[in-house]
Parts: sequence; structure tokens; C-alpha cells
Amino acid sequence: MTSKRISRRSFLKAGMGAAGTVALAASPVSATRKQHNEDLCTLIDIQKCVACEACVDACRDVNDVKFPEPEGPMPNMFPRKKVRVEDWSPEEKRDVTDRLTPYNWLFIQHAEGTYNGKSFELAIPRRCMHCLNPPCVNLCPFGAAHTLSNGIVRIHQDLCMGGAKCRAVCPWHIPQRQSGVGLHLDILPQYAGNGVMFKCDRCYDRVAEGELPACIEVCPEGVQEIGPRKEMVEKARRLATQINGFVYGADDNGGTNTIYVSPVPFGVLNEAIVIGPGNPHLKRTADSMADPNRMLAALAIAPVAGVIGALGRLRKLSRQGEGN
Amino acid sequence: MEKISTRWMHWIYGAAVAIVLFTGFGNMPLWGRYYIADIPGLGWSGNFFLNLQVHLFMGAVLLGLGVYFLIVYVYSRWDGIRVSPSGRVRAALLTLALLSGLVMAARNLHGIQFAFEFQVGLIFFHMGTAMSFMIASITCHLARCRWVQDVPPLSESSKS
Repeated sequence: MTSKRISRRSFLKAGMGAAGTVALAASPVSATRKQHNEDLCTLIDIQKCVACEACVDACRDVNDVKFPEPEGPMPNMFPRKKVRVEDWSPEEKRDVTDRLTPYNWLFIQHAEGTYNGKSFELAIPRRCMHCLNPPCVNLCPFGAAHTLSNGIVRIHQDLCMGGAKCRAVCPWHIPQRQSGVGLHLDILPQYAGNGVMFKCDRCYDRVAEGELPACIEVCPEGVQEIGPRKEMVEKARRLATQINGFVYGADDNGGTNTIYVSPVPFGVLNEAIVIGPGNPHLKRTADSMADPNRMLAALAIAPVAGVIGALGRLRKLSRQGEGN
Repeated sequence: MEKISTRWMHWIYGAAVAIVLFTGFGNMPLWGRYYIADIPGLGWSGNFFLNLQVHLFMGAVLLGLGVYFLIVYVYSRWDGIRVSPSGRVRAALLTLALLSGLVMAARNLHGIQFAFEFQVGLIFFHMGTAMSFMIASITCHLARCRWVQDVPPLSESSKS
């Protein structure tokens, strides 16, 4: 739950938020305008993040219209032991900002520890990685998850059944479920589906209008940059070399459109963060589509095997015919 | 009929159809929810990646068998073997399900993206043809409809 105490962090947050609001109002024409149909990638320099949560607040404000509004009681799901109702709509749960929820698509993860004999304290903005070949899109049984031509991965709320398969197959388990909403209520509310899945859509609507995603535009520290993927990856690697740091996301899960640069190895950070539901890890991640895609070889070989088998059969039949 | 198929092919076809339909339903998050994945030996069906791999592999088996049967059938037509009307319905539905499945499998590769409307249309087309094929197959199995029927061989009719 969000802490309401006044601290250095909340003071910074208030100050940075105000500064961010000014920046939002005065932001120049976006760099995204000319980048439609190219994969847009964000570069997150985590050593710049001061955990002011201006990005978190901006994300919540801008995407408020997309948040779920359940009407009436939650359906009595069947079987009750297997299907858990996930209701984040009560006011106190909506206000949660320290993890991913259907109402909080971006949060700040905190890492404290020591590396090379020096102590570190880092804040890491976490949200959907927008993978290049996202398993949530490839495995969604109804096509509700979709990759836009600019690389943004979004879940269409009108089509999602809330089965949470996307969360299960996502290496970081990013999408979060809100029960009691969505298409499944009009079909078999108790027996199929369980709400709608929600996650960062990188402000696709703002980007389509040539604006920046709210979290980037509002950030007073310039923690995030957005641009063509190739450019962002090169920049991330240059930055990592300069600070003797490390890159995450460039190759993980086959490559993502969110690249982190850190002065501390991500393996060390992964040990220093809280990991659990709504709190994604920072482990090195292999391409989750690699194994299923190996089966494409079987699909390519199958017709050839069919032709060979058929020719063998015809030859045998022909010999039998000659024998008779 | 024995010209076209052997007994072991018949069983491979039946097993592949059963497994591809089972894993097809498993691609919707059903088996974990409804305790099927809890049955000893079926735990893999609750693993979406493994389920997809088995689905693709069985799709490949059906594709190979389809190509085999097509070639042998074309040859066998001269000996008076014809696909029955119910066989034509099943073959058409299976072909459509396989072809749409191939396009869906290609989508899983890096760099291949479809427009949202096409993606949704393709998925529902695949599900629709596969389910129609399942219903047609079960009906034909219960009604003992054969895939092929015998007619006078073309070679004989051309002699007369």
C-alpha cells in the first residue's frame, strides 16, 4: 500500500511532480511524430531516477479513462477453488502504487545493497517491456493482445476475457487482472474468463497523436528517452561503456523495446529488489518463443515427408500391380 | 481403401486429430481451470508453451498425412476410389484449419506482425474451422461414414 508519511521521498515527489506538470504543459513537439511504423524503444537510465513517482502519477492521470469500472457484485466464479476473483476496484486498492495493478501500470522498484564494496540505492521504473516478439501476443487465444506497427504491445479491453494466460507466459508476469468487467460477463461469466487484463500500453493514443508517453514527458530528471530501437540500443551500450555499467532488455526475451542501463549488474539488482506478484524480476531472460518456434521446423519438414511417403507408397503399389 | 491408407496411418491420423483438438482447447486457459492438468500424465497440458509445441507438432503430423493422402488419392482415382461427400466436408475443413494454423504459426516468428483486425479474424477462423472439423469428424465417426467410396475404375470405364 502507498505510504502517506511525509518523507524525503514524498517531498521530492511533490516538488518534482509540480516541476513535471510545468514541463508537461511546456513540452516541445514530440520526437515520436516522425516515428510511426518504426519500433519505438525507451532507454531508461536508472542512475538518474530519484523515485519522485511523477511518472507513476502522470501514468495514472492520463490513463484514468482506460481503468476498469466494475458494476455490481463480482461473479461467483466456477470452480471457486481454481478461479480467484481479483478485485482491485475498492478505493484503498486503487491507490496502491508500489506494484503493478490494473490501476497502476508503472511503479518504482527500489534496490539497496553493495556492489564492489560500495553501497548503492537505486530506483527502477517498472512496467511492460514491450517485447519484440511478445509471448502475450503470440499465445493470446482470442487475439486481444496485439503489437502495433510502432512496437507498442497493447491489450484490447473489449476483446480480453481475462484468462490471464498473458500473465502466465510473460517472463515478467506484467499484465494484471481486474475481475467483474469485460466481454466474458456477456458470455459465460462464471465458467469462462475472469475479467480483463491491464498493463502499460505506452500511451499508444498519445503517441499516435505525435505526443510522448506521459511517464516520459513528465519526468523531471529525463530518466527515460524514446526513439527508434536501433538508435536507443546503441545509445544504451555507449552509456553502459561510459559508466562501466550494464544493459538489460536489449536481448532479454529475444529483445524488448525497453532498455535499462544500470551502474550495478542486473543480477545484483535482482537480489536487491522485492520480487512477487506485481513486482517483476530483473533476471536474464531467454527468448520464451524459442522452443515453440522450433516446432516450425516440423511444419516445414511435414509436407516433404508426406511427398516422400506418398512416392514410396505409389512405388510399392506399382510393384504389386506388376506382380499381379 | 487399403490402397490409400494403412492401419497404422489410420491410428496416427486419429491420435493426431485427438491431440491437436485437445491442445487446441488447451490454448484457451481451460485445462488448468477445469482440473484436466491435475490428472496424472496430463500436467503438461497446463503449461501453455508445452501445449503449443505439442499442438504445432501434431499439426505438422496432420499436414504431412494430408500431403501424403492427396498424392496417393490422385493416383488412386484411376482405380475407382473417390472421396465421399462427408469426406470432402472433413477434408475441406481440415485443410482450412491447417492453412490458417500455418499462418498463425508464422506470426510467432520475430518481425512478423498482423493488423489487429486480420489477427482476430484469423484466430476466430482457425477456431471455427477446427471446431467444425471436430463436430464433422465426431458425427461421421458415430454415423460410420467412410472417407472414400468405390466407383467403377476410370481405367475400366474408359475401356468400355
